[in-house]
Amino acid sequence: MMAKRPVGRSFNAMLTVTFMSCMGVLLVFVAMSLIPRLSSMLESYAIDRTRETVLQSVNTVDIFVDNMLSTLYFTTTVLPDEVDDQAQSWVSQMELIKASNSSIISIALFNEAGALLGSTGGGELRQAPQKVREEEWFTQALSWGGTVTYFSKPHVQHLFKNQYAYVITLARGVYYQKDNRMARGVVMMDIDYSSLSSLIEGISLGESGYIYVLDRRGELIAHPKLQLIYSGLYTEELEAVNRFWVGQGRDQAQGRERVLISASLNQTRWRMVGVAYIDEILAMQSAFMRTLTIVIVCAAFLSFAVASVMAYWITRPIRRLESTMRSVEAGDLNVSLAETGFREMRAVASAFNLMLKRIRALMDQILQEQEKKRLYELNALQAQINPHFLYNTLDSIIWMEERGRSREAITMVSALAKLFRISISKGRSVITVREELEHVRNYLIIQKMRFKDKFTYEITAQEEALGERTVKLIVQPLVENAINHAIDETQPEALNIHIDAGVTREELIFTVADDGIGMPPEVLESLLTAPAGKSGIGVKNVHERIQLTYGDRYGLTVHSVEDEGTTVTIRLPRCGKGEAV
Amino acid sequence: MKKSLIVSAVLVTAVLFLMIFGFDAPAANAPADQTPILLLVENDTGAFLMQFRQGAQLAAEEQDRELKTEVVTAATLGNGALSGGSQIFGGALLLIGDDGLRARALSLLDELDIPSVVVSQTAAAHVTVSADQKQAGILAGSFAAGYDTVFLWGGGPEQCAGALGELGEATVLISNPIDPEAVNACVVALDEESALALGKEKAAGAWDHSFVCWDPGAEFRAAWLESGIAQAMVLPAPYAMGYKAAAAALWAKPVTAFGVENRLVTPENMYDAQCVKQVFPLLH
Repeated sequence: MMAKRPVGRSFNAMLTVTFMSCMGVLLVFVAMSLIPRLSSMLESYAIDRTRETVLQSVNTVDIFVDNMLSTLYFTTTVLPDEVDDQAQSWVSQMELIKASNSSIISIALFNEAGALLGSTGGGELRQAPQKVREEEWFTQALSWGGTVTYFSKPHVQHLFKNQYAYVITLARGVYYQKDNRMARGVVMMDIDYSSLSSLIEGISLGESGYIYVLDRRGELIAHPKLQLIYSGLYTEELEAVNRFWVGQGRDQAQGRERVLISASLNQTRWRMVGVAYIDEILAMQSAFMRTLTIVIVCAAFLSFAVASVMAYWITRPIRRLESTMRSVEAGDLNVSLAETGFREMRAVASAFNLMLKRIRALMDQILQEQEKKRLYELNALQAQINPHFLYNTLDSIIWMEERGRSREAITMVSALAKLFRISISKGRSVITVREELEHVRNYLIIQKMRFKDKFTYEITAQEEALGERTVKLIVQPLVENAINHAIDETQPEALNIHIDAGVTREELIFTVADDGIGMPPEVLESLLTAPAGKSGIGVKNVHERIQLTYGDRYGLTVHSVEDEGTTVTIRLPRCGKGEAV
Repeated sequence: MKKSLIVSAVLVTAVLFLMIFGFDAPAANAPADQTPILLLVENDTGAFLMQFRQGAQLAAEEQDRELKTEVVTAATLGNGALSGGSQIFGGALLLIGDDGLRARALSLLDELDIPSVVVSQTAAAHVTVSADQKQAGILAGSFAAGYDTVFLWGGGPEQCAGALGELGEATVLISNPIDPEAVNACVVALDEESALALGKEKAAGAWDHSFVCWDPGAEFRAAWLESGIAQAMVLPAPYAMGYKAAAAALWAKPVTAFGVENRLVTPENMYDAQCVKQVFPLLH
């Protein structure tokens, strides 16, 4: 037989869905509120980091340049009071300075005419002083008169014979004593360009971002692809950065959007520009978003798993209850629920166990009652086919035949046959009042033939009562009881037995009254409650059968007065007219 | 009811899987093609090679690749294998002047199915990268355009065509002995051999005309310009050639001849940053 499929949603599923819904709403809320904010923050953070990198590089280069400027300034402060054409003492100091700083390529002192007064390395000028005077660094430094330092673009220094270096030239005008007269000159210092470029090379701004340097005219000085730019193989878009000069901007180059961070170097008015590509910044964003998505998915999965486990755990007592109830439904009442878990569930389990206990008690009671009823019916039947009664009756019939009183014998046999027919009643336990009274009449016919004048009887009944139904064989034991116990052998008067059947609106009432010897009160009291084996078993049997069948409201009431007689009243509910069942 | 516990277990397993493997971006997991680029040379010295290699290095780094230089000889190629052994290369650059050696190397690379780029030479059915010959002629011709007489020496057809196209109304004497008496004359040498020969003539005082020439070699560039032997030089750009060759080895699918522009260097601009790598290739 297939198990019945449960109908409707399970509590466990509902709890899981509820938990999941709550978690889902929470996760969606968190995601919706966090993602745009984090995305924006991440982009800002990436740009800020680019700016910080650029500013840090600017700071590094500024420190380097300041150091160089300080060194140059120092070279001017140590000029001797009187500078001769060789400036030997000054050159010696410059050699020391150069030796202590690998970034310095050369330091030289020129007079106003462009003639070399002294230089580190002792190089010989490649060109005439007139040519030196035409150099931009010389003219600018001389014109600024020692207040401002000239800072050149990177170039190949070719001042000295057989010496080439890629340098940045610093120059500053100086005043010195020459032949007791104040003279003007220029101190020039070449800085190795690689010392400067190494400060910005290798700075990474994302995957392919970079830093480049522009001079004050917006021309490129340093760039990681400078040679490619000079060769025409690469173009650096400078329009945007030359438009906003310093600060932050965006432009488009080679089809990619870029963030440009421009900052100015303090002393040189050069600008350092950091370039970061938006797609790389967004790639970082998308990596973060991917991580966040995975975290959210994991959180959703975990919350679903936790919700499932929690729902399973929470509904476990209910499932146990359901399982136990199914066992009870299947007929197993010997089960019980463990009174554990939540307080409410413990209360439910306790109540359920109590209910089961009561059901078991009631079931036991019903079983006992059924057993009693069966026993009483058996007793009633046995009583009806009392062997003594049968033996006596048959003995009487034989006796009548022997005396030739066949007619009476026939009457007795006929009455006995009717008695047994109604007793058996085709196995029915309920018969009509008419049948019940007929049964009593047959019994009395037999007994009357046996006891002759010992008693008389009268059977009356309301016409309305005759059709009512009643449990069978409830009147005869009372009549038998009256014949057996109410006849006073010492009195000549016959016992009068009156049997009546009547109805009220709700009840069917049989009355068996006699004017016999009656019963003492103690007998009367114990008549319906006496244990088995005592007298009046038939009466008690009738009483209990009625109560088992119709309830405690019904049954027998006995009224007896000693030497006056006994009246037994049987009260039954009216079960309606019709065929007996 | 066990179903929900099983589903939970599956979900927790999925979470663990995601936590372990999910955070690596697919790009990080994908094996990127990082096979190196092979530079085959006859010898591992020279200013041109240094500049060329720097340019190729930059292109390789842009593609997260390594540049490996290998000196090839007839003996190594005779063994039928590159010294890289079984290593796979993403591309190869051949800076080999010797025709036989270059052909053998190309054959080997073709057998290994390695894309090859021939530098400064021509090779059938292969990508080539070289100095733009016509543009070199144009640069030289444009310098000599203002002179009445131009003595044109050396160079291939493309260089000559480029130069002649610029000379316009000037009297052009091709491969003629240089007349020291010529007025307002300019001597143009379109190849290294002619440049060296004519430069030495001028240094010896055989004539004193303006002289513009193709790159005479690293040792003469600065000296000739500073001393006035040459008034201009057309210098190739090995750095750019290296960059373009490495890029072509990785990216160029069809057989193409790439020409890299040259630069006209004069005493006025020879110290400029733009010319440093060409005039003074050994300077940092």
